[in-house]
Amino acid sequence: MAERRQDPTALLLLLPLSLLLLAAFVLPVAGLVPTSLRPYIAGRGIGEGWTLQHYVLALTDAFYLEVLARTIGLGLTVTMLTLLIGYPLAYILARSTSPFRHWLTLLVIFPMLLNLVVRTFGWIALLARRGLVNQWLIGLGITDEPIRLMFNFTGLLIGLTHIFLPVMVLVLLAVIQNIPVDVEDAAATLGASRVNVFANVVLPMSAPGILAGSILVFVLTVSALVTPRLLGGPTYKVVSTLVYEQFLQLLNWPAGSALALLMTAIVLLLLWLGARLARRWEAGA
Amino acid sequence: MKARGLLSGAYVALVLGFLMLPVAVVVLASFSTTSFLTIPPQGVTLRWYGRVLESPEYLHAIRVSLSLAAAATVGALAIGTAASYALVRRVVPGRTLVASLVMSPLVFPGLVIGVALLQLYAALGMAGSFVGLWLAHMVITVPYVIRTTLASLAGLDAELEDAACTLGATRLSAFMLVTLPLLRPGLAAGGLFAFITSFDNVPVSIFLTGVASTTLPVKIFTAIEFGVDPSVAAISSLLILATGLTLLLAERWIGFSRFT
Amino acid sequence: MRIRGCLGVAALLGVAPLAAPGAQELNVAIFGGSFVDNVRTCVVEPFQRASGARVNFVLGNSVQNAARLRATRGRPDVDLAYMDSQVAVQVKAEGLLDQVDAAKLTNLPDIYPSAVDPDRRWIGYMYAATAIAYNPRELRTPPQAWADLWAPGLRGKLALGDISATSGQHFLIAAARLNGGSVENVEPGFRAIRELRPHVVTLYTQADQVVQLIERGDIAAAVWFSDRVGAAARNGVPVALVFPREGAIGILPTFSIPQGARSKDLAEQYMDRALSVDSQRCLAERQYAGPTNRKVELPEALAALVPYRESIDRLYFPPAEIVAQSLPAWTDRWNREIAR
Repeated sequence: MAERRQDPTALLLLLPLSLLLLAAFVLPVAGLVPTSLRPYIAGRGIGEGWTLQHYVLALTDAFYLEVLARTIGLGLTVTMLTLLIGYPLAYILARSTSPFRHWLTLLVIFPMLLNLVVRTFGWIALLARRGLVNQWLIGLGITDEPIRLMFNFTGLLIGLTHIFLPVMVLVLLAVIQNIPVDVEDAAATLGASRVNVFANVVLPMSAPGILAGSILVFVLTVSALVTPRLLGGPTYKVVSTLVYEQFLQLLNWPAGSALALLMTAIVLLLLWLGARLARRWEAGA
Repeated sequence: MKARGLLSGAYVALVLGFLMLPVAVVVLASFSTTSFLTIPPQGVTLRWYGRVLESPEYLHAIRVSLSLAAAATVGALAIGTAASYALVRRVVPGRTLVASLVMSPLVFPGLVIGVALLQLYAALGMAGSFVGLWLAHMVITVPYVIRTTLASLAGLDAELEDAACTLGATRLSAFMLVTLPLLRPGLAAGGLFAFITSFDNVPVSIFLTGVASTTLPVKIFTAIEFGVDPSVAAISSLLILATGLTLLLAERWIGFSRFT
Repeated sequence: MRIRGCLGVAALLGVAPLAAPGAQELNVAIFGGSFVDNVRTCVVEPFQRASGARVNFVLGNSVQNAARLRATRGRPDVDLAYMDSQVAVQVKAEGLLDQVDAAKLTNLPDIYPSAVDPDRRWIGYMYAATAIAYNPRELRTPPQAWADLWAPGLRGKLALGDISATSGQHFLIAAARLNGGSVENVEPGFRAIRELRPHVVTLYTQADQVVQLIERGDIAAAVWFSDRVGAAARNGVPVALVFPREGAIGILPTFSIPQGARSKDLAEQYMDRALSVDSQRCLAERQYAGPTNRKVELPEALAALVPYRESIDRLYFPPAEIVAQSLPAWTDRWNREIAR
């Protein structure tokens, strides 16, 4: 398996992807690098000359660093939450022999089909100070005062978890289904307890799915724009809303490009490290 | 065993309830007699549904979005599956790096991609073209396909294909007849994500929609600025209905057991 | 899979534009929602009847339209762009706007001079104002001045616009002027708003959020746009308008023709139509937009709700260039001091 010579078929298979990404992604984004190094003069537009001020500001200013840390923290928390909630669901659905299995899977897909903007509006109606959730809580006597569920970490966490839970479940479902039930049964026949079967057979075999789902959800959370804009509001900003602000409110494309490029680099680094770690864990297991 | 079954059932019901909650809220809101989006709805009317179904702009936007999403999904599936196959089954230097880099269109802010592409397209004289939009949508959907097919392929035994080849099949037919069917769940998941991402996308599309091809999500998003009336909720509910029916029919004809 | 493929190809063939836009088409970048619907009725239909040309809309807000012009510099895909004045002046400074031919605009002499760029690169087509909206069912003694918003009676019942919304920028200016400052010196404004912040329910970023807040009873008053109040009231929302005693802040939405536009001639005809008495009155009735054409006559009830004739003079229009130049600094400070 350790053939190290050039593989022409592989390169041919990768050609369409490379062309697409080069032409429609790398090229235009590369065009933004010079823009990110230019000064910006409010009221006049993009200036002449070169400067690193936008990058320096993004990496040293307390406000920007806080937003960056918050974004990554949100990404990690949502990923963990969707994994914890979604894995059992995916497992149950994958192993279910019920005739309703397909319909249940469809129900998982359903919220994804609802327009993102309108879904977020649904959450606003539920989480607002006088929204349905608070009404129920007060009505049931659980709290006296409405709980602040919007424009903070909690509201955003709930909204993003809701939106990306189907993603995690579907990815896990696809992978768990490919694990033959016989393997589990075999382990059980050999005397392993249910917990043992799960921990030592199913879990490792579904690792690619866990990795794929986690990466997807993390990336999507970190780059989400519409939901943080509406559920986080101006008080709770994340990196993507800051970039939106620079690009589409202040027309400061240099600062916006710098922030976007920086953010992408950081997240890609994290992803690469995570994938390397997972690979090591996989190899070691 | 019964208790476990009940527990599983309860868990599924709970999570599905959580997932359906905003959906229910929005569907309810689409019936409100008020001219603004409010939940719980006040009164019941089908007025908004009527308005949406009569509006040529909404219908045109839906058509554009559907064809765009279909085209992007097909392209993403083809390109993405080929690439995943190469990454898993063939020797490619820096595999992990490539797999991570491929995610970058999802990490990079969509609206910045949109602005950058508009600059490029304008210089090339293709600003606002359907092809331009199609390329952009493929860029943001192909990472999904690669992720899900990578996960599927990783779990498949490479020897199955080799066995087919030993039995006389060509590489290509081995792939088509052995690997591809086993990839179905990964392809289905990836294809679904791709379609939904394209159909729902605002940040990239908002700058690349030409004069003739406003997409549905862009239309809804820009409507927010100037007053959200329940027709937005109505069209979303209609889409859910239509999609639900399509899925139902697909289940009857093709059978989901082949995909899930 | 095969079905999807066929659908995809068929769709591509069906939807791809079959002909390049000809001389009889006008592409316009415009604000979305009910605004574009009203413009369609008041401007586009008569324009299409008169000229035989077709109007195509590309939707976006002021800054999005500006971004489009900047990205397509020299080869714009639109012939006309709608932008608020503080955005238009910046876009003009970037050299992206073309000069309108005065001879082609028969209605131009009737437009208030202050609504027209001296260089004729942008023209204001309506007046609106940032003012005070309140719920008449909740407040028996409504606020009458900007200063009244700091009163204890409104604590916990007030909404302000975020700095990203025009109303937020304008309120900052109003608060500054109230406390001895000006559009150039907004320090007193920041101090005053910081004081007010703990009692503010929310900082809205989308104008429509105010409707939901009032309707749910979360707020009793808000800093809002005059044209929105009229439209909302007509739709049954319990909201009324007050032009504050110290002077509401004026808003001047404009439209411009980008350099290199393909159908400049048609664009000028469209502008002329939008500036005509009939179209302006129509827009006033439907969008509660104050006319910039001084020949327009409005009935009394409507005249009280829109900036019109004398009430225009009572508005304070902050110099657009200063706002454009100061906005990044204001936004930065707002993010750190107020929005947190």
